Amino acid sequence: MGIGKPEGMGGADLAATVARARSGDREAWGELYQQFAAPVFRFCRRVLPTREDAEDAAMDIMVKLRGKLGQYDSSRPFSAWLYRVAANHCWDTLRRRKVRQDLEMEDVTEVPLEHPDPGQLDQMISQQSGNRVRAALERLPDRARLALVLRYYADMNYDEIADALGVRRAFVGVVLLRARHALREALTQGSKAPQATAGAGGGR
Amino acid sequence: MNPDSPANGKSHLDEVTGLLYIEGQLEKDDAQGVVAHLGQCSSCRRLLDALKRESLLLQQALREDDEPVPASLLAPRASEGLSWWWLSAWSLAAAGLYTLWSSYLEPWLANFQQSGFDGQFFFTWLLLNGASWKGWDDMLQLLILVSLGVLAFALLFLFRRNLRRISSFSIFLAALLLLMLALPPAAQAVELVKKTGNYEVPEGQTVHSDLFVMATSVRVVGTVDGDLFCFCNSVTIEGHVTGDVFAFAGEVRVSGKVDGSLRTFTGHELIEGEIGRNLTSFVGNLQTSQRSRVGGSATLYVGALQLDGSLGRDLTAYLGEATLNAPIGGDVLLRQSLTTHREGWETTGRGPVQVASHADIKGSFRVRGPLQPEVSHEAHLASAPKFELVEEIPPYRNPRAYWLNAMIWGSAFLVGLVLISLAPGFMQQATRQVSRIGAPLGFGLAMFVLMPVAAGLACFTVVGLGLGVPLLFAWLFMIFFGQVFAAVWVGEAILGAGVGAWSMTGRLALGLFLIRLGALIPVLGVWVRFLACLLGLGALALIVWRRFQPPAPPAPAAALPAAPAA
Repeated sequence: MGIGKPEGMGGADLAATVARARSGDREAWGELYQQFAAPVFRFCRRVLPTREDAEDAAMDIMVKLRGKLGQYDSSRPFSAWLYRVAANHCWDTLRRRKVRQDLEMEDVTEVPLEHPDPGQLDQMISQQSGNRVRAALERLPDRARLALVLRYYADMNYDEIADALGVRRAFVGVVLLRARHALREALTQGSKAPQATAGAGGGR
Repeated sequence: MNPDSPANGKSHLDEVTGLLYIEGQLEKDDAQGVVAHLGQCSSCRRLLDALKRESLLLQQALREDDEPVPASLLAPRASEGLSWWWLSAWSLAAAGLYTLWSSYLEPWLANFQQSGFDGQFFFTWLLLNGASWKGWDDMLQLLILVSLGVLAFALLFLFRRNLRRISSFSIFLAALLLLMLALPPAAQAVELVKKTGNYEVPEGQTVHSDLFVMATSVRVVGTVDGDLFCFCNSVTIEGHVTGDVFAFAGEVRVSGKVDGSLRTFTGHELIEGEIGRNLTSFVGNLQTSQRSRVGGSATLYVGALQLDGSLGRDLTAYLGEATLNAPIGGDVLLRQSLTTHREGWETTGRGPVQVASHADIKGSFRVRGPLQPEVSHEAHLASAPKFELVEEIPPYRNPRAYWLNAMIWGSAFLVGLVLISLAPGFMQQATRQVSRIGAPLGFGLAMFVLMPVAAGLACFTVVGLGLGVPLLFAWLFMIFFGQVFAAVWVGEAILGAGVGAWSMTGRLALGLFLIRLGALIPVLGVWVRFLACLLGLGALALIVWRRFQPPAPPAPAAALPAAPAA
């Protein structure tokens, strides 16, 4: 999916449509829905364990968005606000299930100071494909996965990520780097024992 | 920033600094230090390149369209071609409606009309909403139905993830089926008979178990040592049944002995033998002969009643016309149909309720309805007959109709509230479907006609009662609560689309109020209710249909405006 340029409404159009939707215009909301339902679903699909979870969450998020339109600060980008709502919803969903939360809360402030071997890292990256990265992402702890999705799918800035994850802005880089480390580890394990991990890809 | 970082002129860049640098998160001075270091350190340049490539890999992997978006989420535009489906749904509905009318409704209706009920009664009964005859019992049943419905919805919501997968759904259905089958006492053996011809328990033979029979006709000359359940055209009991008899049949005749109760849903019923306990019948014509005897009480919804045999206890009946000509051990309470044969009475001089010379009523005798009962001088009554005149009045002049509509409003609002708070997405989806009008009406009509037919077929096929009865209940439930979705749509049409749960609740309240108000209009009211039910039923059907649709092909880069670079 190309994210750089919007295919639907442009910035001014989007702002006008959002304004109309906020004043209760059904058609305007319909246009927003048409444009954003699919990206929101893909966001949820990247963050949540199953397709069904993502479908439910996307539906609920779209309803929430409609309900919260009045709270949207139009001086900020709409997509950033939208993903913020989506991230909060997904994070709440994951937290309710208490999936390995205890393990994830540790070491946020511990800064990894290594200087990894660039050659090794380069070689590892060049061997990967999108599919393998997605499969490895599914095996990451929830917070690590969410951090990577917020940054590299939703294009959120560090302030927004800090806000969504509930960490200080100064630690966002650390969280992202630790998530990358976890991903590298998952990718390395995956390429070492593809048979052993093949079955574990979907289940977290 | 790390004090040992090369920005301060020492060793290599650490990875965090490298990441913050490529993501543009370093302060200006620190960034300049990194630039200076990169000019002299090839290893750090390579590290930063690798990190950039890793970022790119992540972006590509995360933004790639590797699976389609569910069709249920991509709300198609109203103009998108569903016309084939509309056409199919309408044709199917029309065909089903014709079949239902010609095979079931018309003969039944003729039967009912002959027996003192008119068409309006039948339809109001069918729609479960006939305000003119509903009493407290019906209210209670309604409340029970509401509670069960809310419970069912809550359960469906809780297990919706599991239900969505077909395999789990099958397991759920199978478990439900097993549960239904396990409900009769497990210790008691059951004999199941299913055949197209006639089934007979011959003289001298004893069936030592409960007996379920689905056949063209059933005749018991011997003995059934247990309960007897029949689904057939005609049931004849000349022998002995030691338990209860449940009969869904065109015709029932009992000349033998039933130790338990007789419960029937039938067109014609003739009792010449002995019923040990109670008689409960929903029947067109019921006749008991002089030598017959019912030990307990009789509760009847009956078109025409001729009671010549003795009744041990109370007689409670909602009826078209009746002749009581037998000893009755308890109280008699009769409610006449409000549309009973006034013209017939005026021309023939014969009232709808006759108490004839052999009648001997030990308890009280009360009649409610439009016409006085006629009591023979030779009849014995323990107390003077009490007659309460109840005339047919249009629903808008009937306080009970208002009360009933308020009750229905309340129960539907309750269900709507539960749905809004538990499954707002589902509610919104359903309202969106209702707003398309044509499709939900077509699908609603198809469901309205086909679901009971399917339930009936299920009862007579391999699947059996386990599926048929729940399906029938689901149908009734959906008919009643379909109006919730229609109500939100009506509310939104008037107030405009709102945002959030509270505004949806307000629109639900207003929409329901208007629908119930519409229901009080004479003649038109029935159609208001019917259309609201159809719209809701159709919306539910469309949602289910979309769930099982194959997903849409991947959308061509449904792009999202990016947030400004950090």
